Amino acid sequence: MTDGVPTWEEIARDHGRFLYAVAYRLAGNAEDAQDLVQDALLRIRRGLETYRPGSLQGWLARIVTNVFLDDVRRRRRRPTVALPPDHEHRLPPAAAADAASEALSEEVQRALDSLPPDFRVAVVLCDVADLGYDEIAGQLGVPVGTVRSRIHRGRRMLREMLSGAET
Amino acid sequence: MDCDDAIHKIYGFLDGELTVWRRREILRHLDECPPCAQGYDFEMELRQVIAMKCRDEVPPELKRRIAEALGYTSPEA
Ligand SMILES: [Zn+2]
Repeated sequence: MTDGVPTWEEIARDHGRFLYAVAYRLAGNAEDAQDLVQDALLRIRRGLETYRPGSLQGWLARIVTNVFLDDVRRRRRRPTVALPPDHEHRLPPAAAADAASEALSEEVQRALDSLPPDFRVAVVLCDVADLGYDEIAGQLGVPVGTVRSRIHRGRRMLREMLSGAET
Repeated sequence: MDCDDAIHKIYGFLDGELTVWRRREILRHLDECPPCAQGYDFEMELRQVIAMKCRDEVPPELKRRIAEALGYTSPEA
């Protein structure tokens, strides 16, 4: 990274993990998350010339988010069979290593999956990508008040789902 | 600050969106109010669990696909 604009190779090498972290929380499973990252990397390669030095992670997070939202819209148009609830059991056995936190994490992921996509995106950009409300608003092109309300309502819904699951 | 007010502002607090002065007000309320403090702990933990996947490793399959893509760096039409 010389003049503040990284090369595509640098992004793929150094930020693959960040892209994957955001993609996983949005997609809800490893398989779709990998596809999201791959599509995002293609878009990043095409879009790199329009990137202005600034919040690189914000920009990367927006691209993954857009790939995800495009995917959601496509699926909505095409009537598909919903994934079976035990879809994530196809994950590699490595996940068993940290079983307790993994189980908790899966429960949270299921709750995230059931949020409306716009809410999920706002919560994930905040918690996983660690972006501020104004940054999220800028990346999504919506007012800060909308971002705030989506994050707060999304979190309240998560809280209700998760505390309901405990009892 | 009362409980309604504290709960209302807790997400902004967690996300670092509040002024120093508001943060201090909330902290004071959490010190004095066990139910709100408990709610705060839950939200804090939830936030951490959501962010947890960041510490996960990228699956080898994706690493392979990225490496493969790096081999063909000519932009597609
Ligand atoms: Zn209280």
